[in-house]
Amino acid sequence: MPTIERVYTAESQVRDFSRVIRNMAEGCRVSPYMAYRLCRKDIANEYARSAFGFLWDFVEPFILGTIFYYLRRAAVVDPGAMPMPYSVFVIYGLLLYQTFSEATIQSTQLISRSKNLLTHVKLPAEALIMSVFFRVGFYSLFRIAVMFCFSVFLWHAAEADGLSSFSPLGFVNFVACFPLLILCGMSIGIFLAPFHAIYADVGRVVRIILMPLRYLSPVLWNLTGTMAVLDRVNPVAYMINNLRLLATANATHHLTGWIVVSVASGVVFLTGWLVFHLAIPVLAERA
Amino acid sequence: MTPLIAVENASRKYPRRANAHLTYGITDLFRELTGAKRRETLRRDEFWAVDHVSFEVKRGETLAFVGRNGSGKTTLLRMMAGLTKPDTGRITVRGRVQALMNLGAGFNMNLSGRENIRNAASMAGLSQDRVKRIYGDIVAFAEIGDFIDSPVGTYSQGMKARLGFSVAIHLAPELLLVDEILSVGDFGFQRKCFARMRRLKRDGVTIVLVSHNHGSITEFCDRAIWLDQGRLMADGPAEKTVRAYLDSLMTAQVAEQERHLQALKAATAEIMTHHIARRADTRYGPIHDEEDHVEGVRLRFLVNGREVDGLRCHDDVLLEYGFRLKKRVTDLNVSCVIFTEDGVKITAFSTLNGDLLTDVHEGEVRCSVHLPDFCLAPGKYVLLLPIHEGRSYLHRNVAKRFEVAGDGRLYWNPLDLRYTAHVVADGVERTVTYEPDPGLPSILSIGQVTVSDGRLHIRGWGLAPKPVTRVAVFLGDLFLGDATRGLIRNDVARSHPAYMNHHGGFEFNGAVPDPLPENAVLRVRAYGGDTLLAEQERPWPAEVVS
Repeated sequence: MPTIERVYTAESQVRDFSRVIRNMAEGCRVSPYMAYRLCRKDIANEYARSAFGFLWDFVEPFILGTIFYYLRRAAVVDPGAMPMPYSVFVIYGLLLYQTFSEATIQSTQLISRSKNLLTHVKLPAEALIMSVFFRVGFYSLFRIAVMFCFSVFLWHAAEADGLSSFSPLGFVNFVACFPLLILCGMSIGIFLAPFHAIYADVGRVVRIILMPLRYLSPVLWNLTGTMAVLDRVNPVAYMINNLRLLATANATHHLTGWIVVSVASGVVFLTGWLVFHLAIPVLAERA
Repeated sequence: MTPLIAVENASRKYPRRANAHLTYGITDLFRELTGAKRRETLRRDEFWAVDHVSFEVKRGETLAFVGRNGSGKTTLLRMMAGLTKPDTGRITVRGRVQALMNLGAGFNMNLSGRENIRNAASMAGLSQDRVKRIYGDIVAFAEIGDFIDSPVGTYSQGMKARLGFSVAIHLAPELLLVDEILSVGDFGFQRKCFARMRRLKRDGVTIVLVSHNHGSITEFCDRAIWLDQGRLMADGPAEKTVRAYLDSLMTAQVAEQERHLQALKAATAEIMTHHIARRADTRYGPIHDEEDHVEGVRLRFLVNGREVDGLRCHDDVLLEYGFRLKKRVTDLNVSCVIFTEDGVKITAFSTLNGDLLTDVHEGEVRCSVHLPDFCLAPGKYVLLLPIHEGRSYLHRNVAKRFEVAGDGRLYWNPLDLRYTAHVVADGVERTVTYEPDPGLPSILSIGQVTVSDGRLHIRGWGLAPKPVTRVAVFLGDLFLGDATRGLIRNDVARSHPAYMNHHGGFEFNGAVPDPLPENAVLRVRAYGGDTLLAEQERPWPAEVVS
């Protein structure tokens, strides 16, 4: 077995960038099982004293969706014209946004939440990032299942109304592209995590922004008129609109914009990962 | 041989204040991200937790860090484990490292022991297959038994410690870093841990541990490093280093105790200063200085009609006191109680004798007491004036502190009594009335007078309140000579201190004058300097005359 040599110096790791990249790659190699165990630990811990477990995660979108469904039927809100039943629109919108929001918040809090672990165990940064991805992905499986059930249940009724609630091929594409949504949320969160580890205000700001953003995104309605411009600058809008259309009609909406947002998310994620990797040794005991 | 660990000039600093912690945290983060050089000097409110330390550890060596709490042991261990980034210097570690910073670190209290073993092993970098292979050994060593499927939160501290240690040692490290954790758990567990670490040591595992168990360190470790305030104080054989550390600790403790003692003395002195008056008062019994019932208490001494603050022994004193009763009182009486300053009660006189004040009910009360012979010996005294209603005190406080002056004589007791002494000595009876100074008597007594072979021989004794310098013998007015002193008969003198050292016998031996004067009278005179103190006459012995 080759001897492992580790050198800890006061110098910034950035000065030897190739070494940083090698370490990140090594982290990716050794982290999957670690991340899996961390993910299991976090999930088990989160619902250790709960009878219904993660089912609670569906309560809020279900209630909100129901309220807006009836508001729309009562013509209190006008979500605008749409190619799918409103209930499908709402449930997809809420669950997709919830996934994005969860990915963002979980990533932002990653260092501060792992403080106890990081002060006692030397963990690769990649294991922590992967654990968030696994965790959000795990919950997403249930959300995808719920969205699938909704789409299939209303499939024929929607077709009778000249609408589309499910496309088998589109749904496969939807599942394949779903990680882009998680990536989008995590890219923001991972980038902010080191700063949140020092100033908890960062996490509060993220939460405050995410709450109104739900109503300024195509979650419960299509933004029309002057508000439609928000769709153009809101990366979440590209994600939600396209994933929703993909699942229900195997179509896309501003595909170029979605690709740009996805690539940008990837770039931000890689930058955030680098920042996160570099920050962990500095912040492990300060979080 | 390449060392397993090389620590070169490693330092770590921390800020003392939490706010600074935030500011410096963000600064350090930006330096790390931008590649800027770290500041190697202390910023405001920072201190060195580890201060430029260098040493090496060889493969298979067992090393202990000793030092007081906060000396930087754990920080150094954490830097070696890669958990903390150094602020200066460089640490090179070759080999698989397992750090036991906290038994059960990363354990989740809601998960079972089984799940936590898998988690802990995976976080140490072990693959799933490897975890499966060592799982049985871990459980066996931990002796958790049927509790392995219970949540770790239900485990005792000892069980958690066993589980944590068991996981750590089964990860096959080349370097085991152990913080002060083996104090957890029972004695049996500690022995088991050390036995296992000895086995690891035999297998060539390098062990670095932080411990306050100095016995175990000297027994188990080859070498020890003593840290104090982040600085390396000593590095050498375990026993020698631990001894040096303990010696310094003892010195520091002695100095600390000395400082504590000084502080205690200062505090006590302050308390004494604040309460000395009160404490002094308690020597004279309970003090009731409140003025609920009585006010305007006053007392004075008069000698020859003039008020005085101090007295002389045997003065004719008029003591006057007065006060005002604020409300109606029945069964009133007032006492004057005299104590020596150090709290010995001398005497008391009260209005109870004669029921002088019983009928007084309220308003102004005045009283005077005539003391024709104030016979307190020279010294300092305190006069208390208890004012009672029945058996209850209305007021009881020091009314006057005064001093009685002496006349240069020595006194052993607080009272200087007048007396009359009847003395029988050598067949001679004498009655002496002691009139103290200024009329203190000088006494001269002629005892045996013999004439033989033309020589006159006289023996006698005397006493005086001042030194006798000369005893002269006369026959009529004819001076015969001075007596010699030496015969001590001080049984009378001993009874009164006033004659101390001024008493004694005398003896005269001189020629009988020839011719012998008619009607000659033998006179003996005692002088103090030029002052005649005493004189005694005796008719010339008839038998001699004849």
